[in-house]
Amino acid sequence: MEAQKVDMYIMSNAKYFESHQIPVIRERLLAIDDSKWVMIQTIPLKDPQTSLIVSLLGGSLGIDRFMIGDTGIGVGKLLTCGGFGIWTIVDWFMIQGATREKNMQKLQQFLY
Amino acid sequence: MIATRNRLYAFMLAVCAAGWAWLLLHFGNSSQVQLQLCWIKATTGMPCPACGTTRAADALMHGRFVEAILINPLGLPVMLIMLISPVWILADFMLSSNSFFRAFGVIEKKLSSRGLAIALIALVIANWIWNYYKGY
Repeated sequence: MEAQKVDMYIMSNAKYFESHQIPVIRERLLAIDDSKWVMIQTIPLKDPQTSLIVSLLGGSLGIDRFMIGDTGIGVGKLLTCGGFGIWTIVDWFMIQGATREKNMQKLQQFLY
Repeated sequence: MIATRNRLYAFMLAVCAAGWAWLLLHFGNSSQVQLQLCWIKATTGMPCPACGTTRAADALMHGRFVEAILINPLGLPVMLIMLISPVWILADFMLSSNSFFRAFGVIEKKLSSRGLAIALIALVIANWIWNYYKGY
């Protein structure tokens, strides 16, 4: 793809990914075919800040994990009242990174 | 977070170990142990959907099945997960298979399907309301 398009994508979506993933994403986007551009643009990415707010409010019920698509962990948190309250606190710090990882997984389907 | 087999297995084993340790702490005397870790109950005074799961699991371990269901039906799935998953994972390690990992993925996908998710959410909310009336 053209460098201009790729840079535009990176600039507007950098907050959805881990910073160390950005160079890889850029490299792969430059290498792939132009026909995938529309698909890549329309991938529904989750905002890490939103999941942090959800985690602060509904972390005890596992809603944050359900939201980013970690259903298994979500059920675990729900059944144990947020992992006896401890897991809730752990997830306040982990959920942003987990959201970015999930976004990367979604994008990766189109990159390779 | 759990993208590989070994990570999932380590995670599940750790969770089950913590669960069993918690249950052993409460074994037979769940009414005497005064450990309050529930955020919802601590902040709002209201019970959460999972309040009473420890007592229910404890009742199950003593064979009081009906009492467990009446305390909190969620104790049953928790107990089943804690019983089955360590055995399954150990069997997987011995047979160097990844059947638990695959099953986890399939179940996760099934649970995310709209119809089932709505039904389960409704059940959990109903259980929550029931918990509230039981006064936990």
